[in-house]
Amino acid sequence: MMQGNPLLEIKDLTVEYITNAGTIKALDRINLTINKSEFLGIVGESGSGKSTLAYATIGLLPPNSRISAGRITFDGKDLLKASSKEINSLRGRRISMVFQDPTTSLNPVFKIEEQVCRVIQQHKAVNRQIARAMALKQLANVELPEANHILKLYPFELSGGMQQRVMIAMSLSLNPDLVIADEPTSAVDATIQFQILELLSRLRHSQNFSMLFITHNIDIVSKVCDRVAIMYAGSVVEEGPSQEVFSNPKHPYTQALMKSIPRPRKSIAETKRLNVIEGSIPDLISPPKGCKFHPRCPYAYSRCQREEPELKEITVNRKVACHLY
Amino acid sequence: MKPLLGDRIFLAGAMIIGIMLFIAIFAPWISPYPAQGEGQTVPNVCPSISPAGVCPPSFSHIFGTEQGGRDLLSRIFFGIRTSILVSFLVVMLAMGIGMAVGLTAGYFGGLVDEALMRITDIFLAIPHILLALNIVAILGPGLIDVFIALGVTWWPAFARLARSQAIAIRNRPFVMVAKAMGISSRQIVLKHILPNSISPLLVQMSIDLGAVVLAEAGLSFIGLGVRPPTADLGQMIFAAIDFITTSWWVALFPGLFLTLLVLGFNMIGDAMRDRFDPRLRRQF
Amino acid sequence: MNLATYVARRAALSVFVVLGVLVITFYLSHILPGNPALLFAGTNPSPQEIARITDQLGLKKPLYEQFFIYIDGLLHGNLGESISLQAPVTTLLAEALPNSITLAALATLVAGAVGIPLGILASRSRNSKLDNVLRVFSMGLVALPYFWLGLLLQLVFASGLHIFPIASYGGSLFFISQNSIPTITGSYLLDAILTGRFSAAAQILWSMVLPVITLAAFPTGVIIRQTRGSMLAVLNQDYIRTAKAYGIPSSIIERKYALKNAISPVLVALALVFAGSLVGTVFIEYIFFLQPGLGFLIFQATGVGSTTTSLAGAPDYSLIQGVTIVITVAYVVMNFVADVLQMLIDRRIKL
Repeated sequence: MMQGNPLLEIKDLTVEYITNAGTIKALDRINLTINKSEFLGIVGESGSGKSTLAYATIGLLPPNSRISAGRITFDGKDLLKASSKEINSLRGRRISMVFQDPTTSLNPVFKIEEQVCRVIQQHKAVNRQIARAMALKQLANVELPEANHILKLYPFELSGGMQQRVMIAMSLSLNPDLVIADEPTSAVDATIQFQILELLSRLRHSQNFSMLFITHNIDIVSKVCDRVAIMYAGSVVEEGPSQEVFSNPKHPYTQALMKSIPRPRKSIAETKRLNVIEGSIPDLISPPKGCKFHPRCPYAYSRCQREEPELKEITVNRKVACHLY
Repeated sequence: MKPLLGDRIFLAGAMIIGIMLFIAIFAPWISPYPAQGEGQTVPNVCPSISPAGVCPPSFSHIFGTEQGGRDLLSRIFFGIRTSILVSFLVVMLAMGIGMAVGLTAGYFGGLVDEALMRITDIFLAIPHILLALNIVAILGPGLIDVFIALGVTWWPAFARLARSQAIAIRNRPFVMVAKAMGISSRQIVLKHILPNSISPLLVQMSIDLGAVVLAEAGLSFIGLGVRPPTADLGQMIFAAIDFITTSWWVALFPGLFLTLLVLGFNMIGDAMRDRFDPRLRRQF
Repeated sequence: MNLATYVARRAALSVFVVLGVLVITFYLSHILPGNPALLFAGTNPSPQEIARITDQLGLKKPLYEQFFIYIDGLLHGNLGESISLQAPVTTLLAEALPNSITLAALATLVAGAVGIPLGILASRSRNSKLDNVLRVFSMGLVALPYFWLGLLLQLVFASGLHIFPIASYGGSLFFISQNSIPTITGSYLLDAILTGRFSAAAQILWSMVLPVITLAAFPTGVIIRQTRGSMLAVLNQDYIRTAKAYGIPSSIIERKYALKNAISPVLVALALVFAGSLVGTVFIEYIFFLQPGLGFLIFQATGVGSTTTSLAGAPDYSLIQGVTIVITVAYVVMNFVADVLQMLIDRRIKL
């Protein structure tokens, strides 16, 4: 874990979506920092705002969204105030993204070579041959066999796992500082999932980059990420080194998440029922007063219904937003 | 949120069609010269200007007169009546045939489906106006013949729709239950599948109305439409060709109303299609 | 499935459809009418005429034999004889086709050249003022009757402002013969260009401006809407989001990436537009007196000038039938071409 060398700083970020039904507060005063060469995991259910966070950072929020407050600073540069030319120049080159579903995220009517080389040539003044060589190197890097052949293929001719590797290769092709991975393993098989996680771990050591790893699966976060932030209904509720959060969850939501992970039992006698968290995520147009989790929290008391808890540091490197602490 | 264009278009179209329907239904009562509208020959009101009776707009004839001295506005009103009447009847007929074919094909599947769909494909390959032209050429012009010709041309689209609906519905539980209870196929198709498949067909219907109006006017223009003295906008425009350089109003106004009518139908059709097409995802 | 197999299958399907169309025209001409001979005999035929035609078509023979005679005739290029024009239908068609194809091709070109950019423009800013204006504009175009628009344009720009000639190729009935343009392709415009008669070609083209604009109005509306819809659907896709996330500027995304994905339905639309324009020549060629042409033939076949209380003469059905077959074949061929193009662009398409 590297300390005190922030690459990306998100301060008090608030993002809203304007819909026919009302204004949805997707992110509520988010504060997060990612350091250089650090893997930060963001865990949350759908609707927690984790994807919104990713898209806000790279500037791809939909047209009906509004960033009503906050700042995102990347290597000293304020992303929200940057011109579109500046943002475009950062995208792919210093901040890149890996999307959830590789089958729809690659253009079906262009060959792989065209897509990867285009990205390279967009940001580096090289000719096609050099770009191709760079692309080949990256494809080999993500352990794709016969990279030469793959370049000539169309996306649909590859399996889901291979497509995801291509995406990862594309994201690393220009040696970015930060890679945002939006649920990179959710759309692939469990076995492929495992392989991709292994790949990411290995790449981490060979190439120096930070990653914002977004997922709903708390289980896999601990395998790749140094730190983890748990999100609920648009706010960060817990943050800390992933191993610690994993073994010693403090926020009731995190605890419930840990309990709900299905684990293999040694015998049928030990098989318990699947633990679920009672209730459902709150209505983000008119969220409950006080702590947003209190309707589902087994430990909620009077203060939880009145006051929203702040994200406080309770021990070194450990933050929780809960009145219990 | 400001109203989407789609809603405004629907309203505009509905307004236009509302007015047109009003004109069509009440033509005999709102025309300044209903008898002339229906084709009565009248004495020339401007023999000095035009021996043929094509008189420019004046106080007594707001849009002027057409050949034969007939009041143009009244003729237009009756022409709108013809267009709307024919188009509604045609679309009804087409929908009827199309549903019969499509539901049968979709429900029974297999060879029946294949055969019927091949036939549908063939009909779809022939351009509408051309096919209608052929039929009217054989049957001779006249309202009924035009009606049959156009109806026979337009059913394929309905057939396709009805078929996909039937396929979607035939495997639903309630249909299986009906079959198990021994209800005859015919009953199942009529009572269960039909009511559930109506909505996309209604959308198609609204889309087709405008096209049918144009086709009917086109046929009349060629001379294969309804016979004079029945008023018809297409036929009026054709007749205006001879006088066009001197008497522009004879061509302008019928065409204007025709365009408006088609526009109105198209607007409604479009708005309905936008509303019901799941693929046109609205961005939030 | 590779390209060859796909092409073969589509070709087979097309042939089947054409066959089906032939069956239909056969039915319409031989089975439906009371006395088929009358259909081909023209106005007030004498009993001898009727007998001759009955013999010619083999109308006394059983139906399937009649069909064979029919198909046999077609395969030998014999589509019968035009009663009104006293010439073999095939000759008339061969004469008329090139000019009409030129008109239709030009109209399609205009529709594409104007419609596609406007459609892209509309898709750039969904629901903006520009988008709304373009949508309403395209609706207006689609509602315009060919014949009315043609007359109006003729009135305003030809007889009114004298910018364009009123009618005929080259502006006058005798233009073609006066300039002794030889017949190579059969299309006046092409032949003039091919033989180096550029000033004559220019005049011919000038006389075609109004007709082509009229013919292109409806298709342009269709193409604008098709392009817009297609682009919007594509721009919503994930892979466009990926391109944006990697810093590809919107102009390149639109021109290269989105367009290639969106173009397929537009190509199909263009193919249909071409065939539809052939049908549209019915109105245009009469109004602008552009002969020879398919549309013009149809007009002659249906008895022009039937504004009197009865149809002036019976329709010349062999001519109508001939034109129908030709245009339908054109339709089927264009559909086939569009399908193959689609397959070339998007390799995922399987039958």
